Amino acid sequence: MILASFVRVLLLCTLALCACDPFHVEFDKIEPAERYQAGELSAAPAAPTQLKVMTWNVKFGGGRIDFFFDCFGDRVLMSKAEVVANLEAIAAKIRQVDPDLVFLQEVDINSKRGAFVNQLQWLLDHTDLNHGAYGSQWRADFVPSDGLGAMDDGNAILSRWPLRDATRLALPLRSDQDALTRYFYLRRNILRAHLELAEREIALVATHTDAYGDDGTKLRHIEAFEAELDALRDDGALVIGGGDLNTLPPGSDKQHDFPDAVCTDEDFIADDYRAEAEWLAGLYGSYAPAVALEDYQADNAAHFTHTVDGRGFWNRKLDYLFTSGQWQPDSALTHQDQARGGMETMPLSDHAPLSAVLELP
Amino acid sequence: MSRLFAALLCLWAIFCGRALAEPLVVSSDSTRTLPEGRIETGVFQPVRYGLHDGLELSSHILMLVNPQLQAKWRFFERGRYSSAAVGRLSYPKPLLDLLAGEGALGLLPEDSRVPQVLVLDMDALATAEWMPEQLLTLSAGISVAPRGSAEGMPLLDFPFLYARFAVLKTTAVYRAGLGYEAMLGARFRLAADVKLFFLPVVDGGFSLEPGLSLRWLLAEHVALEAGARFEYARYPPGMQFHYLPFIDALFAW
Repeated sequence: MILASFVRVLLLCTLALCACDPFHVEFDKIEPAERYQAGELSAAPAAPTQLKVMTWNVKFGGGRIDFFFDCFGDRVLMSKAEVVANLEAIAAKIRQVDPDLVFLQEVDINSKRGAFVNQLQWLLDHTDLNHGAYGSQWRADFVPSDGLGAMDDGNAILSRWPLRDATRLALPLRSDQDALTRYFYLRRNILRAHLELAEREIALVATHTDAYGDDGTKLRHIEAFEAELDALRDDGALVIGGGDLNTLPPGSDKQHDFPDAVCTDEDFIADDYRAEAEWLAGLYGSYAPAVALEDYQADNAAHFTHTVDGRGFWNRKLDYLFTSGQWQPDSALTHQDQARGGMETMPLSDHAPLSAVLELP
Repeated sequence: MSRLFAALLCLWAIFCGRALAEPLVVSSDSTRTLPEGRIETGVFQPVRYGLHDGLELSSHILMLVNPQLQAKWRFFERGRYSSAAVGRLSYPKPLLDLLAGEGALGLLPEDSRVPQVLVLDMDALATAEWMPEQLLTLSAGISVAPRGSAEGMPLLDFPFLYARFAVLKTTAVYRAGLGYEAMLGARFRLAADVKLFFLPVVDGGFSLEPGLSLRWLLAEHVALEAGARFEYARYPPGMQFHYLPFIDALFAW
């Protein structure tokens, strides 16, 4: 009798405990984004007639350190000095471009690999951007893989002006992983925020889609991103969307066998985009891309934004800006190096920044 | 294989173990020590040995990769009150090197370079038997880790382990505790405790660990224990809460 009661209580306690989220990795489907503000606010024009928009995957302030997942090295963690040195270079680039809005991907705000530096707050404090919103895509008290430990990494929107209704929208999880891997794996999202400028409603939508899935997750993410843009545009907002979509534009000359693909671990191989040739056709058809498709198709290399090999050069385009409005003609720039952007960006991240100027009606 | 071994050990302990002069104790949180010649252990517990009344030695199966020895010395006893000192010396480098290996749970990066280090834990315990078979124990302790260099020392910030390995990244870790143990009838023992670790490796760092367990004395030589530990702590990333349900089998000779 006593034993039966004991076992029953024990089972109930165990079930109750196991039903929880012991490493705090999960998110609601829709939840408020985290809000940030610079320590000291910079002056922002009250009625701008144009907006300079930038998107950049900053690789958690890792610069060109050879991390294990790039398959060029074995590094896992950075020292605080390394992180701050890389952030100083990233902030210098942002100051040089002097954007009004920035979409950032892979910003660590509280990760062991990033020496627990809050990179979003650091960048706000070292640029003229004043306000930020953050949506985590990978959060865990401890990631028991390769010594990663505590993790909080995600998408961010930085702005000169206050952001309103910043929201994190969950994207579908990969379905091709075992339950344990999926529990600790990335939880991609769309980060949405609103900006009110001169009585004009501007909707900002940032994302970073799946990179390595083999189950169509990336396509579902792109479709969700496009659907979010559609919904906001149909509501009457001027929409700006961007981020790292992890796929190539339609009509790319080279679609597989990239020279920097040295990984043999299937978890980190993203080297064949042939099945994705038309995945961005909808976005290109419905919205104005910062880099027009005909410009890209005329010269792919001038618009490449990514390579994992820091000793090589950009060899594919993964990063995008779209709008329901109009970009200023010839304002788009892929900041590849000193000649195209005024500063070397290869050492700063495994992605190059992309910027363009939006005309405000 | 491990299940078969555990079952055989359990059967052996029930049917073949010699009769004990006292019932199973397995009490590591009070000042009580094992009687002379007595050995007690558990699947997840250290092996304890009563060297003589008042002095207990213990080590863990992890000794193979984490050489260690602990001694508990009960140096004062008057009426319902007693005091003891606990000292423990360990050499965690082999364990940390193992954890940094490829495929070893992913707790530490493969590029970790663990320097030579010794860890010395010292605790003072004071126990009062405030009612028959009900023990209340206060404890206070410190851990220090003499080492060649802190350069490359990995931070093992896994829940519950962090408070125990934080000393590798700082000069000292302090702790205090309060424990309660009571017999519920002849066959059940309830234990509740709370430990507080002060972790100077983080600004304002601490770990508050309450625990609760129930032990069922199956026979003179065998007990089952189940319970949970909780942790509310300020780790390097910030405040965290964790829990760890556990179940264990305890044996005595």
